[in-house]
Amino acid sequence: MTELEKRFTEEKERLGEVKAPDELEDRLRKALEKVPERKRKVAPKWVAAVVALLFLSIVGYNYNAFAYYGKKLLGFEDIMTGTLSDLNEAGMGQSIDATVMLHDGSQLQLEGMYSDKSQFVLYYTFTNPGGVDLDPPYSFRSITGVLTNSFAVSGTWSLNDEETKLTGMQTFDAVSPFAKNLTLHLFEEVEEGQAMKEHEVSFPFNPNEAMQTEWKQSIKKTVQVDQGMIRFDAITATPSRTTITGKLKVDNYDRYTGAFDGVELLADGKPIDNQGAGVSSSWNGSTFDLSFDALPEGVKDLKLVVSTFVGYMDVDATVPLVDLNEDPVLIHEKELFVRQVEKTEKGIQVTIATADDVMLEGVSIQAGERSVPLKTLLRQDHVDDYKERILLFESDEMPDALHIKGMHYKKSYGDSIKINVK
Amino acid sequence: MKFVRLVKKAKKGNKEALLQLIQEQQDDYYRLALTYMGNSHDAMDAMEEMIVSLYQSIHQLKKEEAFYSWSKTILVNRCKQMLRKQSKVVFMGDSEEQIETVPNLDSIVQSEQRMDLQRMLSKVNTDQREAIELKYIHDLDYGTIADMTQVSVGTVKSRVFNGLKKMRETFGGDNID
Repeated sequence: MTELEKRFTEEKERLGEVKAPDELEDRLRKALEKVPERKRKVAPKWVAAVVALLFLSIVGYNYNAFAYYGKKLLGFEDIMTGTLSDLNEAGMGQSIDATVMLHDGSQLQLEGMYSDKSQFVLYYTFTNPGGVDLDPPYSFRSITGVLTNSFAVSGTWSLNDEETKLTGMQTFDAVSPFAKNLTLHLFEEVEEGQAMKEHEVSFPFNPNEAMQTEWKQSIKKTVQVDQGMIRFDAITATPSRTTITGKLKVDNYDRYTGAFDGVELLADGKPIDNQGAGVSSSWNGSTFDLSFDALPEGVKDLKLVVSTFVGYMDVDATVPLVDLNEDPVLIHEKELFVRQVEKTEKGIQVTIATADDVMLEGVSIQAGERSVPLKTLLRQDHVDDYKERILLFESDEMPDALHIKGMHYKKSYGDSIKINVK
Repeated sequence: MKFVRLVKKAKKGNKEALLQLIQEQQDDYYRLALTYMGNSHDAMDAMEEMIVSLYQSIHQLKKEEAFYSWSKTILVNRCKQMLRKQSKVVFMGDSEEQIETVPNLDSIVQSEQRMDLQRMLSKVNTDQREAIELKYIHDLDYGTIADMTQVSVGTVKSRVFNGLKKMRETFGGDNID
């Protein structure tokens, strides 16, 4: 080992003794708590309504419904997922030739698009001979055009070995087939913390080249769940995506995230990839749309299965808060740990933990004859696969017991609905 | 693999999973931030900024396996941005404040060798020094360093090579090399 290497090794050992301060974890957690949750962007419903109306009122507007004169886009094999890559292989893309020059000399080149009634996909490259920043300075906002205001939904990219070129794809909500010209809106962060600069770039769009194929079938079946019902209205399949729409009248369906994760679409017995769910509320209940990957060709048997959904159970359970130990109390087979009971300036704080899907309803503490309802939830953390939270009760008396009226949880239903494929 | 599962969860917006991923290697992140920022306070600030950016952009991360090199790249970018901002205001702050931010790194046992190494490193340019420190002190591979410093692997190699060469030349080949 040379003298220099020895010095480096010593320095490495020295640095290795440095440990992150204890307060770090807390600071990171708090920083993260302040960030708003990422939400799936949903296009305003009225756009769809207007488009639908126009479809009904304009007679004689003809599409080449099954003719695609598209192109196969080259160079995007890496980032195309199954279905989109198959569609590209079949030559169903459209090429674009438009460029956006950014402030720092880098260049955003729009290369191609794929469009059908469920989504619009943009393929682009981003180049900077001086090296591409992994935190690119631009962000896509929307695509506009006649009857079109489609928001960016999600994207992915890959970087070449020289790190000078980023190849990416970005999906948007579907664009209107009436548009002949589309305009992409994107923001550029010129300098950290400065106002964003907006860029617009227009390119021609040929809706006849876009795929208008669509298969629609009404479902109109209802599944009863503990606190209401889910009505599945229709299924719409395009070459790139399958969407199921319906209405939801379930109290507290959002008590645990991913309520719809347990709804599966089976094509000839095989589950189709779930690509997300959106719920929008209105005065008479909520509507939802579930997205799945495209259906395989020639599917014979199509089934929708509600394998799990939010369930509710009246439990009327009393859990002792004295002589605490580490063992859980079982409430209808669901574990409940009481971690701590303490008296603070704010009131009585009770720390409990349950499985992720368990959400308690009607919680109060009892001290002798007196019962105090839950005031608020102070914080919630995930500790070793359990959801741990601190409940605050406005009281200054140490309680004897915790009373729980009911429990929301992920319940297995297993209802299955057959969808007619003819 | 547990780690990939966590990254997938984090990509779906699960904050706890992201936090867990960082905690697994929190000392590494901290040391990295400390090397750039020079004091514990700023190092933790940089890590706060990092975790916020990670949360906002993790859904764009394509390869789950690349999470650590990707997140460390973001950390280094945040550090550099903070340093750029600080350098703009450093002369405006009063001198007492600056005394308070004496690098924590120096509270680690000092030694002659360490001073020597710092003195030697101070002779090469910033890019070379950065590459050398990341390679030999943080034990990162060329690919990761290239990601972090946003240059090609070839450039990193040449920075390390030329930096070391300069150090050897300046401090006499015989006893050091």
